[in-house]
Amino acid sequence: MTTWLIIGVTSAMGEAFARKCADEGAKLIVTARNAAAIQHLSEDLKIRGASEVTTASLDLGKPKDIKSLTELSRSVEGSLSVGFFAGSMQDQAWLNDHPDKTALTFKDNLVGPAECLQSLAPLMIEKGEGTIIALSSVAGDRGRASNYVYGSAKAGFTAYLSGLRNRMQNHGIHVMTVKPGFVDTEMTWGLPGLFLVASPSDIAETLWKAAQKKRNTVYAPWFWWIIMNIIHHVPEPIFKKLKL
Amino acid sequence: MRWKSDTFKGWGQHLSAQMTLSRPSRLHGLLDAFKEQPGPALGGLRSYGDAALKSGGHGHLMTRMDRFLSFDTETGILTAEAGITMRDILDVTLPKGWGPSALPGTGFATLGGCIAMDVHGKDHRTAGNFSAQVLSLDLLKPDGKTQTLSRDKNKRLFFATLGGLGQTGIISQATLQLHEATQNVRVKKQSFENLEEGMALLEANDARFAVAWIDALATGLQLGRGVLETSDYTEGDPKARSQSVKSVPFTAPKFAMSKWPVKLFNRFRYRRYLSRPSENARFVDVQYPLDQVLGWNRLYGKDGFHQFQACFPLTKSDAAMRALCEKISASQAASPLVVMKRLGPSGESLLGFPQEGFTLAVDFQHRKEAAKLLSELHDITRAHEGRVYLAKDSAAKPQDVEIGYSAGIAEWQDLVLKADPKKSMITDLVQRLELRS
Repeated sequence: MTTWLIIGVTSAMGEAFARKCADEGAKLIVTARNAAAIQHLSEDLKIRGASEVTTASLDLGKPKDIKSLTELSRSVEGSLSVGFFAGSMQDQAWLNDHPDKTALTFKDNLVGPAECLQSLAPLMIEKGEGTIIALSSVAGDRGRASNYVYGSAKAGFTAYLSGLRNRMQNHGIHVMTVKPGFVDTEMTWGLPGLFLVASPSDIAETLWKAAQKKRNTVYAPWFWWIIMNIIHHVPEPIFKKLKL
Repeated sequence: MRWKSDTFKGWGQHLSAQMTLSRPSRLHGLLDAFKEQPGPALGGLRSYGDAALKSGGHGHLMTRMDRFLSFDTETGILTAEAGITMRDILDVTLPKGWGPSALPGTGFATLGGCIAMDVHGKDHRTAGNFSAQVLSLDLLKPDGKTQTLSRDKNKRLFFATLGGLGQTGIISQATLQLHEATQNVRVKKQSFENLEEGMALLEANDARFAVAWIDALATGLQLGRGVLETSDYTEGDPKARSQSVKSVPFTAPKFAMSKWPVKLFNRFRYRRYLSRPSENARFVDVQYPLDQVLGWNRLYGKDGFHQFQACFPLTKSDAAMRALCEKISASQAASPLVVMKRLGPSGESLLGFPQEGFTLAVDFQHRKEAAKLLSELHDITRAHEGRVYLAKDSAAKPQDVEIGYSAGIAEWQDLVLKADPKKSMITDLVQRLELRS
């Protein structure tokens, strides 16, 4: 049986995906910045059917945390799969006013995630099987004035994941990049101008199925693929004049 | 805390309110939001009328606080956050041999909502109100303090909170004593030719679950004809596969619920029902036939619909049921969903709905005639000392609920005033029916 390591279980999508794994009776390791704060969540996942749940503290800014998580993951019997849902989104207007905070967005969405997956990669290669599902964003497909700092961090992460997929595929590990559109989470609740908002549990269901099919890049819900294709193909002289 | 300002509707789609809601995912988020803006809790928004609405006010949507906190498979004691749905609970507990009782007709109702409305199910005669299985609950009071309530601790406030329409505060979590249950039930169906026969069958029934579906368009000698559906838990497996979930993609035109389509539907249903008089089925399919059609409330058109439900003391039931059925069939305005049940004794909640006797529930599309018909049904209810079901009501006036709830309301008002002196928990329903004054 495979053990699912869910990084960032306190995010709505992370929790929804952990529930899906629990439904399937999987063993789980779930992480959050503060493990003590997710004890009740771990109990919930056990009651929902997870055969075992371990909690771990993981602050992606702390190399020590990444190291101990890697050690914990090494001790897992059988194969290991990773669901990577950690990240943060700072408001672009706020970032424009606080240029010194730019690094924060890159740390949370690119540097930390890449360091963590780099650290987990060798042990997954050792095990020789498993899946990595990692959350990037449609925001990374093309920089837009309304959130290009976050978008550029996610663009970097998307490129990282495509390279990781390339590296891991010879070792029996499948890497799936997920680009969700608008999802109905605590972050988006009450935000104006959202449309076609998907529920975290529907996204989790989609990811589970897509991972079984070993899809490489998944837009969730699927129609975001069309939307982003259109956005991607607008010629730059026109694009730069748009308000997006 | 993020807030969302929008128009929110009761399940009947007729009543709506402009509200600003928080939707916390965790207890500390709820505490923060509640401190910022105290206001009533909202759950699955399955109450038909305005029970969960507060025009121009703030509220707290509990649907993301939906975690199991503990479940003892030896004793059947379950603790969960208040936003969890009945469907989620059943998914987990039934395979382990346990189930909640007193389930309302939709699995999307939340734990907190079921307690605050003190709902009942097709098993009322054997299982009582929903609150009968509630061992304790945590109440976030308007003063910002959380109190644990049970039959041993703060008993009076506990009874004011069960069925208390959210007026004492927000239920953040609750502990239930589940009963032994199975995933399947043995369903039996039997037709009856008129109202008296239907009531006699319900009276004599000894199955755990019982409900009578009435063809509200039948008149004369056939007035009140219908089908009795009873069921009991069984270990036996169902033969038929359960149907897939469908959804209503758009709001239907008004004529979809006019007389002839309804007549046809009732005839079809009658035939299909009796084609298999006895069979095994999944409990959730029998319990939640309407949940197979997501958004079925849109079938009633853009103006929505009303649901009327009242229950009567046993001694008044014969006359009340007959008067209601006559009025409904004469109007020829009812939907196919007319339901009659035999209820057991009242529960402990001060504003509880069920009382020993019969209850009738019926839907009406919102039309000009509907208001007049509803007010006539309320007249009949008053005349027969009936209680109007507040979880469903969208049309009653203060005098329509006065007699029915006279037993517990004075004590309830005292306790609510003490818990919420600033009236921050007041809802449109409570305001409309002047329940707190």
